[in-house]
Amino acid sequence: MRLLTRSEEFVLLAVWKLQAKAYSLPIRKQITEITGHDWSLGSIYTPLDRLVKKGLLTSYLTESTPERGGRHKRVYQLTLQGIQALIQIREVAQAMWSGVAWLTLEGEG
Amino acid sequence: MSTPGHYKPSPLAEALLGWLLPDAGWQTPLGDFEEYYNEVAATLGERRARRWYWGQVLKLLPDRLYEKAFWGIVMLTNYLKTALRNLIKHKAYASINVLGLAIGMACCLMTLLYVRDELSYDRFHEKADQVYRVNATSQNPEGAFYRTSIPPPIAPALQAEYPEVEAVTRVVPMRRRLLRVGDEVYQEDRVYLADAPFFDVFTFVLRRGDPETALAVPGTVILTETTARRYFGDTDPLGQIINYENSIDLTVVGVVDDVPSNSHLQFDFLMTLETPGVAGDGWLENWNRSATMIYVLLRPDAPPEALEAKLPRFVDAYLNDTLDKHEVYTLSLHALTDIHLYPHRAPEQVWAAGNLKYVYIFSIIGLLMMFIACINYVNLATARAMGRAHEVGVRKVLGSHRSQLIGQFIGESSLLAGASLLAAVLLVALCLPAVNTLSGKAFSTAHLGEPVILLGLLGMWAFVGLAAGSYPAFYLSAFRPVVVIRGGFAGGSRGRTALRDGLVVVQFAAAMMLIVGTMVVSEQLAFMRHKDLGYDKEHIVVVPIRDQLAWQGAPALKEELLKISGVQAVSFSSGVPNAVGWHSTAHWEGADEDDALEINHIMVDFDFMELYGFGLVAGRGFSRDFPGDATAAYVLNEAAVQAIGWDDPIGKTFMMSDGEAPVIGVVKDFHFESLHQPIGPMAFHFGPQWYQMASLNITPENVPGTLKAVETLVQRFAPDRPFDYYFLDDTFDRLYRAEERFSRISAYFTALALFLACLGLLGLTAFVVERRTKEIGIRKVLGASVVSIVVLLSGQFVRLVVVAFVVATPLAYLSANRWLEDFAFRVDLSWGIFVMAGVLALAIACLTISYQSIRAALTNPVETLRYE
Repeated sequence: MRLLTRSEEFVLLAVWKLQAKAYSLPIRKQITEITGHDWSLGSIYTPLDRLVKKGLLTSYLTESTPERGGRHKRVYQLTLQGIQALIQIREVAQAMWSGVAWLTLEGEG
Repeated sequence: MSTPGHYKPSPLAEALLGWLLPDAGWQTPLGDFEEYYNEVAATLGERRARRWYWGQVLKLLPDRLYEKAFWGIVMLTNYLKTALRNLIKHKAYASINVLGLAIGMACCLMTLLYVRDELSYDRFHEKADQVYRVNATSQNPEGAFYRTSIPPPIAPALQAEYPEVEAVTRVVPMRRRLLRVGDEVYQEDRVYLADAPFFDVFTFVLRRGDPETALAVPGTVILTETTARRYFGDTDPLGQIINYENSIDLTVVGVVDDVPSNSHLQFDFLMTLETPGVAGDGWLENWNRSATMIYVLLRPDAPPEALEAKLPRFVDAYLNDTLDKHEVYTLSLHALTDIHLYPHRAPEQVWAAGNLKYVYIFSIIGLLMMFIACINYVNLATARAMGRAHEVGVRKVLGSHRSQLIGQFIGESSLLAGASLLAAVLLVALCLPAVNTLSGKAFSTAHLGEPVILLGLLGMWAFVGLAAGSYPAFYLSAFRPVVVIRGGFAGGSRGRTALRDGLVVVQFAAAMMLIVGTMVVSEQLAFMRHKDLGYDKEHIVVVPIRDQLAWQGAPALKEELLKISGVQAVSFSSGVPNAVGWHSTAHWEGADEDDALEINHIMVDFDFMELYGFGLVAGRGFSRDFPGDATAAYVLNEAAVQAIGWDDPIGKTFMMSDGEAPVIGVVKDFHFESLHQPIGPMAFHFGPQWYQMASLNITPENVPGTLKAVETLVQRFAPDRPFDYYFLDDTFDRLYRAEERFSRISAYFTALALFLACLGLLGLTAFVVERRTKEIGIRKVLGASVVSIVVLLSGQFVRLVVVAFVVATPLAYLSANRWLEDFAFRVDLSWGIFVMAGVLALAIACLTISYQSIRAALTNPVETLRYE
């Protein structure tokens, strides 16, 4: 299987979650909220472009809004491969985590 | 609170960001940024938002700039490489282009030099804009006489009368002055008299000597640097003595820089005006003699029109006593910087003066030459477009923008134009000596470095690069890749060949106009040279004589001269038929109070009319059988009789400044001025005290021996003066020097224009022949003869030349007529000239075409069809 970087993984997941609203700004917002880091816009574009190149995402242009200065949004969508990749990621992650009974910073007492 | 959408990032930052973002789909990210900007602005305030936006831009800057520059250089090297490869691959085209453009630019550059020089006359004076020459016009019922010399006392009067006159200077140019240093005798033509304010009015730099006393002390002279060296070599000229006309000793008190060639005042010597003995006593106070040129320097804020408006009152106050009552005398101001371009300010004479006219003519010719060269470039570039079509297609497929392609092709033409420009400058620098002899100017390579010229060069470069480059650039960059690469591209559609044909027509029309112009000019010149002037000018030697010799020695000298075997006749007079130099106001029997005639006159002796072979219309000439002729008799010309209106002039009383006398004869009109002017009234009468010339009719055999004998004799009579003589027919060349020069220069331009047009034609034929090689092969296989193929190939170009002939003829006719208008006596424009120009152009064009077409027609079809 193809391994994705962590940021690619986050972006891919965010696109899945956001569905029809998945364009750069909401993606950035979601990742920022979850990770607690301030992701810049530029750091979203790079994984997005790479995912498109790898064929995991496609994009299309939608309506323009006044706050965008009349410009179109580019909304991303998972391809079949993208969905497969997400499933794979989840399986791998679950497999990796299985057998770990508990994990906490508190001592055993 | 404000709703989203109310915030706009700074347009500058937005534009910058737009420029920096990768090309593809940059619209969307820009929208993202703007949306986020709005979000930040709404929550954290617009200042934060702006800071963020600018931060994004700046972060992007270094990387993207590097990338852009990198690719820019990569593309530039690629363009350069393609351009050079193309030039090398098509050496013939490249050299036709560079050669043509270089010649066109060189012509343009030369005319630029010429025009700049003509327009720069007298502008080197610091106060050039404030200096005016005071001219006079005296108007009679019979016509106006225009004078640049006016009575000397006008100068102090102007100075005293008008506070706006800052300084006034009087200047008298003198010719044929005898100067002596020790035993060395020189005859000088550039001796000027001037008074002290000369150096306030004009900017001639005094290198040596005291500026306070320069030209203020009588009996002193100032030399130009070159003259000082010529007279005194390395010894200090200051304090040296130069004797003037064997009468006055002048002390050299200063040295000035040489007079620039673009000054209308051309002197080697400046003598103090008030030096006693240079002219009659009290001549500077004489209101009756138009003896000096007067220049005024006005205060910077004084308008010349205001002063000019006051001058009629000035004439009333000072000059009224000296005028005839029917004479209207006007003083006018002639701006210093206009004197060269409009020597006669009288409006009807502006064109006749020549200089400005030739400025216009040469500017037009220069531009025409460059235009012809540019047409070559455009035609060859579009004709060859086929060769570049694939390149354009491939570039477009690889993502070139049309603007990039246009840039590429304009860059190529600028490159070519740059190379041609260098060649042109080199060409001009090499040709300068020849250009100088041809134009009578003194250009040096230093002139090429002047800002105006450099600007002109830059302009030429830009013009050729853009004007000649933009059409092929737009044309080539418009190719559609699918069409060109698939190979369905056919080269010249009808519209494009039409344009090319049109340009060829323009070229040949221009060349033909130049041919017609040159032929008309040389015909007019020949006409003027060979026209029967109404008197004999062959085999006549004129010896200027002067002072004591003039009338005491004359009879004795004449007797001795006639003893010389080669001398057939001798006559003394005040002037010769083509250098009269005297005019006066005449009255006559039965004239009204207001009638008067400005008339030219020559003081002659008994032999004058016979020596020059004037034809008599009525009465008789001066004769020794009538002793009264020597004191009181006039002979007039037809024009004078006509102006007066006499039916039978013989015996009528005629009156001039010298006195009253009957008219004894009328001579046929003859040309005593250049053929620019109509024939004016003229009178002959006796006047031994005014004799200045001896005219000798000599036999054509052993001319040097005769001249030697004459010289020995004249030297015996006038030992102090160097012997000086000229052949009368030589002086005619001076009258038509401007036309002569124009004729030669235009001949060169014409040849070059034809050459350029043919160069372009050569390239076009080569291209057409190349395109039609296979067609020719097939035609030959099918039995076409060589002749029919040559006719086929030449036909399309010959047609163009014929069209050019039709276009050029009326234009050439109009402009030739315009030029001829300046001559009172001119050749008729015959159809022959136009036909000859057309035939000449056609013949040269055919010759050009034939080389390529005959070669193509002779090619063995096997060669061309082998690969089908």
